[in-house]
Amino acid sequence: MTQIQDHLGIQELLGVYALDAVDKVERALVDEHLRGCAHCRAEVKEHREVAAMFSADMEPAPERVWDRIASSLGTELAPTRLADVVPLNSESRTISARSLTWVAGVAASVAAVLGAAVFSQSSQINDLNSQLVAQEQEIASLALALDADPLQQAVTVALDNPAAQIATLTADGASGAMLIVVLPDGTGYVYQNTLDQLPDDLTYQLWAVVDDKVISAGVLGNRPDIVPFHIDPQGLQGLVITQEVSGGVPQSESAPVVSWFDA
Amino acid sequence: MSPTELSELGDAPLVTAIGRFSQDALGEAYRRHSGAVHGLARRILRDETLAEEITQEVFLRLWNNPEKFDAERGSLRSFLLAHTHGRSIDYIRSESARRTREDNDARLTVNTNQNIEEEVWEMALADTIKEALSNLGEGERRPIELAYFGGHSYREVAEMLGQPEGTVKSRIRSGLKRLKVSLDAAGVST
Repeated sequence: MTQIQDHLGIQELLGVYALDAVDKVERALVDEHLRGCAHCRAEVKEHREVAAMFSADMEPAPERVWDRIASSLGTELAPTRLADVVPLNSESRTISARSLTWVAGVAASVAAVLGAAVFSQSSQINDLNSQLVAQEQEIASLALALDADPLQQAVTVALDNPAAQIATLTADGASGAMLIVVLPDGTGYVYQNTLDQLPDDLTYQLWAVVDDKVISAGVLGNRPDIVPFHIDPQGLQGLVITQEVSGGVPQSESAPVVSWFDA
Repeated sequence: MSPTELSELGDAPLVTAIGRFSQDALGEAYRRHSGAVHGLARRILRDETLAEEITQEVFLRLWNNPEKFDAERGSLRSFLLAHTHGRSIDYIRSESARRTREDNDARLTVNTNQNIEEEVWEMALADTIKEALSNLGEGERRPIELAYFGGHSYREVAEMLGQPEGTVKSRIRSGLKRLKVSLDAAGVST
């Protein structure tokens, strides 16, 4: 199965995945895909938020459940209603399961800024820890990007942008397909493609349909891989790929090979 | 941090406080969400003891692994409920439960649609949620109810409804999208 087929197949699974209605193999496939696809992560997030609404306004859980949680922590916790602040009892805490980065972030911020007066300045600790976590995530993303070529880096960054629009160009009744990501500023990338390689005297050409006008967005070559382009994102209605003579044409009379139109 | 201050914290700082070993913060999370967590587990498992065990597990996991929660990926409520749902489903699909489930197959097959639908409506859902669900066509609402509340895989749902698996997948996805549009239009935050 190609990458594009993977993506399309995974998209079809996102609803049932969010409701835990998939088998283990499918769940693992989607999990893997979501690690690298911000667009699909955003969709799953939306589905789960909707599902969470189904469980609104239920009666509180029995108090005995809280009592058991308290005993599991090895100490007598405050009442559920939280009348008083309870001193820390970190020795009773299971910390082995936590990530080292989390613990290190906590330890560093506490040691450097607050010393033992944790609760007296908890809001400041929260801010510092949030910054540390964000920095760690940014560093991890940058480290991944450094291993890729510049165009791949650009695509990775674009796909990670929640505001990016991902267009799947397909042909009616055919298997040919292409994925394009467009950022809000109009920068776009052709980044996955299963179209056949063309002879040297032919090329694929990208057209943007903007305000009912068809505008050339770039000549993609006879075997497109990752190709950057720029379009006016305002009024974008669709994207079309045609097959043209090498070098491209100012106006096309060819039938679309694949296309996408905003619903 | 005082109880009042805790009660006013958003998801991310509340979980950060849990990460700081604040048992009060865990108590606040429990106060806010344990009803939904326990209710969902009980609805799926149909067993009070198991539902309480799942509820306990969900909040202990939050205590032991607060870093698993990522506010960028959704609310604390949806995070806890997703774990609740997943663990409940894991249980009912386990081998030990399979035999019991198979014994109930006939009853489920005969009364599936009516049972699940009635149970959903018995839940204390907000009026806006009921309205959004009722606005879905049956073709989208039933697969969602059977999958989410019935704990069935989409393949099982397809068999129960006599529909192709691809149709069930698509209808669940489109139904969830339509529900979001409905809830957004009604001003309900998702």
